Amino acid sequence: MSAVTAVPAALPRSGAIRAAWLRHRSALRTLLGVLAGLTLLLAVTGYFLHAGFERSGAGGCDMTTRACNERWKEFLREYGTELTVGGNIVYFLGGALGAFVGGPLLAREFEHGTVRFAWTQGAGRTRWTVGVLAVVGGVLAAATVLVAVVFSWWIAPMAGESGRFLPLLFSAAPPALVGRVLLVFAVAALAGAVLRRTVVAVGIGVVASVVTTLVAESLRFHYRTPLEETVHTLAQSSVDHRWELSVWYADPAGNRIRSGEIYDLGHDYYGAQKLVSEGGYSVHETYQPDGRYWSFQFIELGWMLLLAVALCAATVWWVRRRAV
Amino acid sequence: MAADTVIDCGGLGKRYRRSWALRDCNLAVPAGRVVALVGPNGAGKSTLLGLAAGLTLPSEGMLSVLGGQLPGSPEALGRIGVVAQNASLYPGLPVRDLLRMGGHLNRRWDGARARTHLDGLGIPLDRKYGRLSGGQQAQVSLALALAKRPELLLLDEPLAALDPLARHDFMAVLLTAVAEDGLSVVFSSHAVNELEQTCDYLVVLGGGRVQVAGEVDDLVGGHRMLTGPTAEADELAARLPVVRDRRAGVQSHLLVRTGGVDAPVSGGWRQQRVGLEELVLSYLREPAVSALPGPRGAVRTSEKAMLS
Repeated sequence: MSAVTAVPAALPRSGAIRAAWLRHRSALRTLLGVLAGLTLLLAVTGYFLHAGFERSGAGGCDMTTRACNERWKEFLREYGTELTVGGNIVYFLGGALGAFVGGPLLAREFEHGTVRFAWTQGAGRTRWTVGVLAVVGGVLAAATVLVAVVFSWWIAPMAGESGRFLPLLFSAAPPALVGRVLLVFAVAALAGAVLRRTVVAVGIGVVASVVTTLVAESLRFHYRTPLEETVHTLAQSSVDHRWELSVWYADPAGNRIRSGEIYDLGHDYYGAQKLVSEGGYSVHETYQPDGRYWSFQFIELGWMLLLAVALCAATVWWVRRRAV
Repeated sequence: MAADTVIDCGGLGKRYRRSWALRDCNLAVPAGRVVALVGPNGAGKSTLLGLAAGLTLPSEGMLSVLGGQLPGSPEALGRIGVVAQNASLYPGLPVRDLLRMGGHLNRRWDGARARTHLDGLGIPLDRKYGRLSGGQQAQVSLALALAKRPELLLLDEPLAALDPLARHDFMAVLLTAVAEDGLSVVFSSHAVNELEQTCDYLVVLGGGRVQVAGEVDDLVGGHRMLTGPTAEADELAARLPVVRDRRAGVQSHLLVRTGGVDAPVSGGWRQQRVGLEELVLSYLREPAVSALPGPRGAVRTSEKAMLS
């Protein structure tokens, strides 16, 4: 008879975390490697992009002046495509990072039959699932923050004209992107637990990534009650980087006029600008001030994170009640 | 440890969508045995093991393990080792990491035992699981299950994919552990020819129902093959519980249940014992016949457990 080893009173809670790390560390290292490569690419292209922005002199000038506007257009002619393509990839598919990580997480366990090992250990299937979701979700969130910081710097020149509330910029900033990636991660993990097919779960996650982006954009302006103001410039947002939703114009007598009329009266943009700044015409705006930017970021992170946690809880619930 | 049954179920059934994988299953598997779960494919062997391991929930009936534990409860999970079919584990992980994972996930864990076990077989700990041979993978699965120092070990078709040498090595480790720890083993198999050397309790499943359950010695001793004139076969068949009835011309072969004694037959009949393999095959060929603990069968399982 060999001696029975001492049995600790309770399994330490960190056990499931450590086991999940052992299970997923090589995949997470691969993920970090890919993201590091991406970061390097952003750093190199971003260096030239920012150098070009400096050279163009479009940064910090008054966008209402013709000279400044021309400089901006010059910059866009050179780098606009690069910025738009990069911005749109992250805008539509940034969240898909969560799909590729979350989809296989549980689905692959079913496909390979490894649940029979994982769920028959002393820790039980609940702790196992929580541990895996926590470890992988945590590393994913940390990696996303780093990429989002670099990407936000990369795409920052685009804020020059329309402010950082621009959807391409806003949804790529660290809080919003982390929220989106984690939400998609939770959707894909739940889909994987329910459907048990990696490919299907990843596909659902990719779709969720696009849907989440569009839903967030449609809700975003209403996170806080917008302000209203009457201004005397057509490019107020280039001055204080506010986010304008609706704009209407009034003539000196205070009568509301169509937006086309002001340009007809002034013959072109600069003429219209002159009418507004010196001719007594006024611009009435509904807007969100730039100062609210971070509160908007964290409101977006907040609701996405809440939803992600709810979906993870649903995943654990499903795993608990569902048989192999 | 004092539990006298390792699997106890009444009216147990499991339905997948519309078809029943297991139905009306009544069993009291005594502790301290090596139990073979035999039956054709789709007989419900894996289902029964999955239910006992807590991987699946029953659709009806009751089931407890280790003398009253609920399958899948933390208590039961800590005391039951499971070796899954095809020994499925993470192919990308080195054996060392699998062992460390087991250590993190179990309260009771004897890592030294697992390492000794694998070292003894020359299985390198830094090799990835997916790069091991089938026999080595099975041994790693077994080592992980045994390191929990389980009171009950459930194995689903552990030998199916192994070559004869690997089978022998696997059973040698398993039976050594049984001798050292006195653990109970329930394994499913459809290799009926190797049962006699390995198991001491037999459960035969057919079509989702329990056909036979009992000690191997009682089963072998409790059946007789009667060979005699066909003219008298009908009279005999009416009098004795016949498992299998084969009539050929003048001579007939009747496998009957006698309950441990010779059958009361006239001098025209010759009777002999049959091997376990032939016995199992006879029952599998006659799915309607059963030898269950109960009025028609031999002794009740629970009584037998007390007697022994």
